[in-house]
Amino acid sequence: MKAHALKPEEYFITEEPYYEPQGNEIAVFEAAFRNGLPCLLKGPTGCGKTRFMEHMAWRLGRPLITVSCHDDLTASDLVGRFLVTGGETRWVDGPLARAVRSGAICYLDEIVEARKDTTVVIHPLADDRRVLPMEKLGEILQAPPEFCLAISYNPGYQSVLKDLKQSTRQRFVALAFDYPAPELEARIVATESGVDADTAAQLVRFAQMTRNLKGSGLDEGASTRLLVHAAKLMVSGVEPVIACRNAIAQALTDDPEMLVAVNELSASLF
Amino acid sequence: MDSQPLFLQTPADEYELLDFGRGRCLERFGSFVVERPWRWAEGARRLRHWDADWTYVQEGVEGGHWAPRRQGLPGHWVFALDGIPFHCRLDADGRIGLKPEQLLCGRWAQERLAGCYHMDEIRVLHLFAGEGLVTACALNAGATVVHVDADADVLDRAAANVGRDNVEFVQEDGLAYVEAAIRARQRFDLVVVTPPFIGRGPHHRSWDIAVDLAKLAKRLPQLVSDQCRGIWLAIRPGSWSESSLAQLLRDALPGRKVEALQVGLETADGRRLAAGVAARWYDESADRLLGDARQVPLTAEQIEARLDVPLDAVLSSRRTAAGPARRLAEFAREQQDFILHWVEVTAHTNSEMAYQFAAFAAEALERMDLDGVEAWLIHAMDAFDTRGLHAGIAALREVGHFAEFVHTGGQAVALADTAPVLEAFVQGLNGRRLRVEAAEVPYTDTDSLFLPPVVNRCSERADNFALYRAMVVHQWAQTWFGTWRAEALAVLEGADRDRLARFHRLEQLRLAACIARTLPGEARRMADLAARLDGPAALPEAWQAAARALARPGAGVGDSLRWLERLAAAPLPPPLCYMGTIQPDAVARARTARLERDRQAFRVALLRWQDNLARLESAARDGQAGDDPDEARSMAQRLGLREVADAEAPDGVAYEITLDGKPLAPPDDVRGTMMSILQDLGQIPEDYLQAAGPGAYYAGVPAGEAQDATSVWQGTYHEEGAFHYNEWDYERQHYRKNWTVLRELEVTPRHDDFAQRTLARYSGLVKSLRRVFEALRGEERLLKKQPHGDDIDIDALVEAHADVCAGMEMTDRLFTRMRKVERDIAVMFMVDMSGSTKGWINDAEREALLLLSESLETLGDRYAIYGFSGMTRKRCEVYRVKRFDEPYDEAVRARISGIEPRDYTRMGVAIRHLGGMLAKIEARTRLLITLSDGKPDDYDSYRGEYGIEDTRKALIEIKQQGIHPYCITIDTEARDYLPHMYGAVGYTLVDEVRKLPLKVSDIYRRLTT
Repeated sequence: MKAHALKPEEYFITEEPYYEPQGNEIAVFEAAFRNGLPCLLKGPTGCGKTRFMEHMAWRLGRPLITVSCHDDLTASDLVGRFLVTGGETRWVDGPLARAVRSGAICYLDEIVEARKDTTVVIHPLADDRRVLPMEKLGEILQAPPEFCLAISYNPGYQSVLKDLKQSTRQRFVALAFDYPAPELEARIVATESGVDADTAAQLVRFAQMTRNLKGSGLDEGASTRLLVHAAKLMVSGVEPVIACRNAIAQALTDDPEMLVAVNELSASLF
Repeated sequence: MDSQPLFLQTPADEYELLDFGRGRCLERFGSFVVERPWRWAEGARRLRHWDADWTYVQEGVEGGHWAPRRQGLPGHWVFALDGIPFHCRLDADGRIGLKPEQLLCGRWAQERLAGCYHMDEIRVLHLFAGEGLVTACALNAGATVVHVDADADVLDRAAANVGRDNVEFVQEDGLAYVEAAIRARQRFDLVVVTPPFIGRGPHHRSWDIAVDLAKLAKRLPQLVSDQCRGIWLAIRPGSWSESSLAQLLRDALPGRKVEALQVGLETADGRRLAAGVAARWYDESADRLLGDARQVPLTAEQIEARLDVPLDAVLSSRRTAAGPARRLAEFAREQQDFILHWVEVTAHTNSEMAYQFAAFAAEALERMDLDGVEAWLIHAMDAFDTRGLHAGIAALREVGHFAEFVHTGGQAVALADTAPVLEAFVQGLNGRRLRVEAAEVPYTDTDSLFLPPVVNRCSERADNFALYRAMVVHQWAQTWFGTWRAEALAVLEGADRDRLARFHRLEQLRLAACIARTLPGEARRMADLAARLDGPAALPEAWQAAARALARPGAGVGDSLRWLERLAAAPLPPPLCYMGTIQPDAVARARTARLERDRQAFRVALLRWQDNLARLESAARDGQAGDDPDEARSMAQRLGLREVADAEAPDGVAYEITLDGKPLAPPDDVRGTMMSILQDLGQIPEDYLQAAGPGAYYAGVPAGEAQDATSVWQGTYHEEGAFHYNEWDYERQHYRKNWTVLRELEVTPRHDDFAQRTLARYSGLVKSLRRVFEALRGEERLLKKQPHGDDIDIDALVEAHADVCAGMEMTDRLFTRMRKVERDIAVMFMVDMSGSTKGWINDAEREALLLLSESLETLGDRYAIYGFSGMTRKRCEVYRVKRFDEPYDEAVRARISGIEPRDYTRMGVAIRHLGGMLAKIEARTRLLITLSDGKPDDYDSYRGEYGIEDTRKALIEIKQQGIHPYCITIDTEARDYLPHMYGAVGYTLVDEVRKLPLKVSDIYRRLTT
């Protein structure tokens, strides 16, 4: 069984990715798309930001190109560079340029991790100019109306040095994501994993307990994603308490006393 | 002087000398027979035919190999000597991995070590220790061993033989180690020296017995402790005879009796093979004493005489030590000596505690072994340290409880250990943050959960913890599911014990059903626990009906109260293991206080929130009247409360705040307070919604006034704003909990021209320091031909292109990178401000600090300067001169100028406090540098050994936190005690005070590059 290789601009999502709206984010994103406005998704990890982007890409019928940002990301990683092949140099587009050329949705994940001199590359695309200057080529790439830029970050625990500058933030339409309301979260967990509604509700209650401990020993409570992991393990026959221990407790913290406390909480529910 | 022969005899199945002669010997090690060369084997062989498994064949002068009798024999096996497993390893030089004659020394060492009290404190030193046969014997006797040898391979083999527990392996030449140990004031209780003729150690040391043995022997007396059990010195046969060796040892230990020995091996039929000569000394008098002591306990009169001395302060004509002495006379001598020793130690702290200890000691000895008695005393001394004499005596009286605790072994669970986990557990469960505290009988007052200090009902640790957890859940449920509403408190006022117990049991039935609905896993575990500890649940008939009724989802505390009347006369079933008691009075008190607090907090929070809303709204309406008080009031009328069904909330009902009928999401602090009020009242009364009027906003929530730390000595003594630290008592080998009280004070700045004068005087030095420190600061460099980088290295690319065209492979090092050399250092300067620094020393310290600060500013490292002094343990003081985050400005310079000599030098607590501050700073390297003029010293017995040991312990603690301590001192006697505290390389002695300013910057520079 071999892995399937695709060009990123040909990555069309054909099946509807499951997504439950928390508010009116779908309508807002669609309106922004129609108006050519870029979007900023912010929220803690595991709240559905990436899933939302997949859903919107399917909905709008555009390919989705994702770039995970990190400290070593350079402008040429995004825009493109010259490579020498066969004795000649030729230009190879980076993911951002590819997205612009083919009118795809470009999603830059964890944008605060990238250096500031890299982030400013997206400024011309993110305001009403909607162009990508490619200095090395000496060209200006104009974005078609179907092109859409989206970035995401977690405002919770970034350091002072790694914050989004105002000149960047104010070009975007911002959508806030958070842990869903309990019934919604339970429904999400049940649908994603196939576990029964009662167990999903217990898992959500457990997540709530861990979120109560945020700041008193845990950096973050359990995210929805961790609940889905635990539920999937339970569906495959793993004991609930063991599933919670591995999928949730050990993923949240290394502190031995907190681990004991969180494991006790899960054992009190299941 | 006659010499004694000492020849080895062992059980035949372990080791046997079979035969010897003509320079070779035949031995059996375990299951294999080995023939090897033995220089001193003279005479003819007895056995005709030597049938060895392994024979060492000599080739030339040096060198040879082992020839096996047949194929497949192992060259390395394990056998036993006196029951101790040992490795026999054949190597290319004809050695077998051990010297069997050393077993004689090992046996002697075991004899000498037998019967010592504090085995865990006995330290044995073996120099030139080889593969560890003597070490193994000493470990077997229970001592810790320092095993010194110059050869790393030999140490590895020794580790394979004896393991690494309780033994420290040191690779060092023997004489070098002795010198280092003496400098570090190390002492040993048994010393064995088995040197070779010639040896080579690390650091280019070499050993020549002709020259170095005498030197080493002379140093031995400085290496042994007061209760040294013996010294054994042994060498191979050669130019030293046993009498000359004994004379050497006698010269080193004048007046002591030294035995000379011929050492060797013996065959079964009595032929002797010489293996060396030895000299040994041991304290015979101690031996005789011990010999007697093992048989004869002290009489009551003798004990009383021994007790009179330390207990003198608390004895009188009416209270004598006769009673305790009489009871103690019935015990064995070892136990009597143990008690007397600890009476003396305790009396140093407090004579009354010592007397009570002596009084209860007999009971303690009957119930526990010596370790248990020691633990009991330490527990009582902790109580004395933290809560005073009364608490200490109470702890001594409860020897029975303590003995029970000890007997359940390590399976008991103490509240102190599990409180953090239990608190986190309760916080996760939901609701108000509840504290966990200790009390004899468990109950809750809805602010705290009171649990027993120790739970040891079950034989397994996990079960004891489960019992704690069940108690916690039961008490939490009382708060969450509304046991303590106003109606319950009203009905139960003045109720007697029986009525309270009934109510408690009814509530337990109701709460158990609630728990089963929300926390099914926990309900299961609690039922299991109750079934195991209380027996199967069998409720009387009448109660079963109550149980069914109260198990309904809508049942509340009102239903329990109604059933209380109905079952007023019915027989009461026994309580369950986790129930504890209920104390309505405590609940009522806590509740009243909390309601008022919550109400205030809610109203203030509401007002703040309303203000924000009003401001937003008025901003939206383009600046119409926003501060109009009428606005605020009408806002209150627009706010409403609405009930919403919510499965999560305890009563199934939650409250929403509405604005003009539309739900609003309140901020977190409002929500938290709402939850708390809900739990207490079951609803949020309408009048709570009236936010505090504008005046009340600034009254704020009443909180206890924090008292100023500096007001301590102007009126009533208090300890608010002060820090408590433990102190290490080296005699007790235990911490005194929260023994010292430390306060942070400011240095009064002195605005004079001290800074200008100093900088003018040392202007040349300042300039050169600046230059030197700038060079250290950090550079940026452009690195070329990197595999990763920000920019393409065009030169490299051009070359690579050329390579490719020429048919070669293209390299990937085509980038350039900027690299910054980072300095990530944080340093804390601890300046001795004791009275002894008065005069020159104080001036020198201040100048040194000023120059150092100038240099550090250039360098850019983070630094802080604090002075320390104090008098007695209750008044330890630390003086802020410069904090980490403070810039170096005129104010700091004025404070440096204002550093004045004050009182004493209690170093331990200052190190702990400042080390704790330093540990919070994020830096790769953290230094604590002490500028001192002498030893630790304080008014109340914090001097001498005690002070030094506590300081040393504090330094060890901060080292464990990753901080490097360093001391710059001007005390010329520093070499006596500083190595012990700071380690041999952790300090610098500046012998002239005048040079201190110059030296300090220099030292810093060397430390941090």
